Amino acid sequence: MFNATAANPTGSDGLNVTKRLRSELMSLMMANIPGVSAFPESDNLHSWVGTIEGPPGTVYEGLSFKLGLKFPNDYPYSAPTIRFDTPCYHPNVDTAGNICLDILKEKWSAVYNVQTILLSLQSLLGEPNNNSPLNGQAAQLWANQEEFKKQVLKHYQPPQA
Amino acid sequence: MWSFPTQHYTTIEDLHLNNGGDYFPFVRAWCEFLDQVAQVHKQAVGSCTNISQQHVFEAAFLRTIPARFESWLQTFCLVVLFLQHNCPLDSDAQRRLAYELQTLDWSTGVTLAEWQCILNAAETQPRPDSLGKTCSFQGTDMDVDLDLELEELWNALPGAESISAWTKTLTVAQYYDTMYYIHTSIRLHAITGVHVLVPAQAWRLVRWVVNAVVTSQCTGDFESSWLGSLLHWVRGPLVRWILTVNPGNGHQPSLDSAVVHHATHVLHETYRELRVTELFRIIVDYPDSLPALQDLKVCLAETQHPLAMADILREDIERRLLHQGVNTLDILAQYIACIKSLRVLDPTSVMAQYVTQPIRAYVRTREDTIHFIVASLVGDDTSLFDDHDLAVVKGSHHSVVYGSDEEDEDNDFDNENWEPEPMEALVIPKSARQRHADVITMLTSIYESHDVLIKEYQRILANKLLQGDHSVLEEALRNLELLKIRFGETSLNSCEVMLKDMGDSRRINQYIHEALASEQIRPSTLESTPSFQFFTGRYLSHLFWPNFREETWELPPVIKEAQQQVERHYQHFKPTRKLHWQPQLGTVELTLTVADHDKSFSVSPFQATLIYHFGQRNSWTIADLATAMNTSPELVRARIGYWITQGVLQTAGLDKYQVVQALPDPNGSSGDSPSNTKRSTTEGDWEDSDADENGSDCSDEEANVDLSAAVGNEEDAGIVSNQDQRAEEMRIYWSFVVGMLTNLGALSLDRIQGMLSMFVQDPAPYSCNERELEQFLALMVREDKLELSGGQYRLK
Repeated sequence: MFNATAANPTGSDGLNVTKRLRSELMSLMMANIPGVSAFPESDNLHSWVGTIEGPPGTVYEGLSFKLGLKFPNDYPYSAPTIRFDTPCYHPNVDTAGNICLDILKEKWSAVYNVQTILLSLQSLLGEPNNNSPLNGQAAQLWANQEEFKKQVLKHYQPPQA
Repeated sequence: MWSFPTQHYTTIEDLHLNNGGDYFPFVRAWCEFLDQVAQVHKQAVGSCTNISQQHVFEAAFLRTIPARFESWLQTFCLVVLFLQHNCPLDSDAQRRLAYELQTLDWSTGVTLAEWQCILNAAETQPRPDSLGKTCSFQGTDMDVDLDLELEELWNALPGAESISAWTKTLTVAQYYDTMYYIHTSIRLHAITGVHVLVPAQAWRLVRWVVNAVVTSQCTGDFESSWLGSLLHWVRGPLVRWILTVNPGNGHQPSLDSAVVHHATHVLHETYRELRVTELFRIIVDYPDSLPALQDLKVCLAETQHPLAMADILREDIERRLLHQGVNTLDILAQYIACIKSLRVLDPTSVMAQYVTQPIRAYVRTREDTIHFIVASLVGDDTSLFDDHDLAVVKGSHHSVVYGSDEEDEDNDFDNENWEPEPMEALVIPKSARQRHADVITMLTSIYESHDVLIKEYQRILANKLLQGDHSVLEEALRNLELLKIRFGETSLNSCEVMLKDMGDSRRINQYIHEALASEQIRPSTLESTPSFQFFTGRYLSHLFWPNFREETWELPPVIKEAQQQVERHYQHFKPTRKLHWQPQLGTVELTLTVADHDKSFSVSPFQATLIYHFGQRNSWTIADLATAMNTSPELVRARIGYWITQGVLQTAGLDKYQVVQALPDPNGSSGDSPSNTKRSTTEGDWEDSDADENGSDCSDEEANVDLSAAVGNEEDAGIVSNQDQRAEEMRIYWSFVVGMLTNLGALSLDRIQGMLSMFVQDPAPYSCNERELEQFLALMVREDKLELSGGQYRLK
């Protein structure tokens, strides 16, 4: 009994995380926000797949991007790890799909949830933070929207359904 | 080396048929043959030069025996004769012999121990000098009086006149056969000095006779109790007869009681075996078959409790009852008969639970099951219950409330009638068991939750209330009280509201009619307000009623005006509520004058509107009608048929209809009407229901969502069918389905089912089965939101 507890100190937390993720799923499903969506990949609640559609009026309009969301065992006290699975040409996304977004790093707070993250990422597409780029070339090109869009389409691969 | 007897028969019946029952030549031939074999064998063994040669010969000899001789006794004789010539056997030979004997197929069950005993006896007995003299079979020893006694035996049998001649002859044959065995055993006794076979012969004869008698007398007859009289016969005449014909009896005084005991046991066993194979038919005949059941119960108590019985019955049920060709009502009736009959056999009803498991699982897959259960609960249609069952509901206020804790009964130490649960109980999960649950509970418990039943009841009730007049109300109230006892007060809340709505409607109508009447008195409004007394509304609280099928079409102006008037006064009466008309519900009483004849009809509002238009113009095309009524041509075409069959309308070309005009001048009788159709606005009442009494805070957004197919049968008063409603309820899972399909791509049905049951926990855990999900997804495919290809669903 004690051994089991010692081996898995986060046992009870794990339960709480599951509960929290379940209720986030519930509210996400119920909110039914157009353009963003996420769902657990399999029976593992700690690993989700998300989908965001490019916001209208931006170069990403009409494209949809798949995300991988990994929730740590101490979620929501630590931020989830999120990356683009669909290649995304964007100043704050590197070629491996890693994302530079403050609320996923130092500004993470437990009040954020899947829904807010997805919405933040969607708005990040239209409003990149060019001051701390992961993709310098994209940051420089941002000023030239027409050329930028060409690059976006060149890198974009539609997600396999 | 030796020759077989010329007549060699394989079975006793065969022998009887071919030989006309004359055994003696046959028996004599065999006895001579046996002696001959012994002689030959003696010579053969004598000619063997050494012991190993002898052994080889003996082994071969023994192995040929079972192949050539049908009867084990003949084999036995051979073995004994064989031993007589080879004694003394050394222990090695004995072991070998025992082994050889073991490999023979002994159908008559002489144990190895018995053999051993015989062998030992044969070894210790002094060898008789001359076999032929002491052992020759005396056919004349057979006493003819025994035949007479056999006749007496039959006469003592219950239902003696009906016993077939064939059974009698067979028994005579069997009797002679047995006599032969007995005489042979006497002969063996002379050789060996042991008498071990005599009881075995008696058992054999008893079993045979009892079996023949029970099969011929009781098969298919469930309505009278056989066991008592048979028992009397077996213990009296039969045992006496056995003892008479069994000459070994004198040597063993204990045989008498043993035979009685054995015969009784054999009867119980035989009877049980017969009835168990017939159990399905017995249950079909319940309650007429009660005597057979009670007999069977006695037999079960006397013999071992057979799990096999329940299994046989289960198989029978699955094979004969649970297939497409059987009505749901019949299955349910059989289910109840099954429970009742098995309860005779096993008062704890554990066996009933076990046996009926397949039925319960099966009927759950049938859609009309719920309907039949509820309908018979409220005494509709053909009721599945007799008065006694219903009396249980009415009488006992403490009766088993659904899902009550059954533990109480097991811990009831004061119950003197307590019986232990039979072994089958172990097979059934404790939670599923309901000791002493009454029949209705067993029926309603087919469904794990009684919500479905209540919903069905609600549907039936809604149909009745909306179609019937006020007399229905009283009956409905009575039924509701009965159901409350069974399902508890709270679960039937909405039904109560439905009934209350009906009562309230009457008051509201009265109020509105009075208000309208008082308005008419005032001269200022006299000409503008026609009388709307004919119009009575039903005001339903939509939250508590089942969903209605939405139909849209234009009502005639006179009705619309009436609606507006009623609505105006209703607002006055209940300012916080808003009416939402459901024109497809309700009935219209109208009188039409067709070809000079008045005809009264009670039809749906749609039909009434349809015919109303014919009152305005004599002939219409489908398309024009659809435009006038602001609805789809399909709906019009589907429903106009009613008026044609009623002889009011007739076709006049493609998609064109006109009023039947039997007389050349249709205007003569109706006068004021341009055609011969008259709407009776004065005496008929146009009842148009549904007024929505909404909660006070609700505004006008309470449209009943309904997607079921528009053209349904009108019988059901426009209430959404249960199945569609179920699919409707599953819409709350739709966002989940969209969520997973958006993110995970195409998924198979079981994957979706798995995901839903894993992730949907609030507010209630996901509880639908795969079939329901499939129906729901099919609905979504129909609505063009999904596509299904290769077993995978994907979003459009």
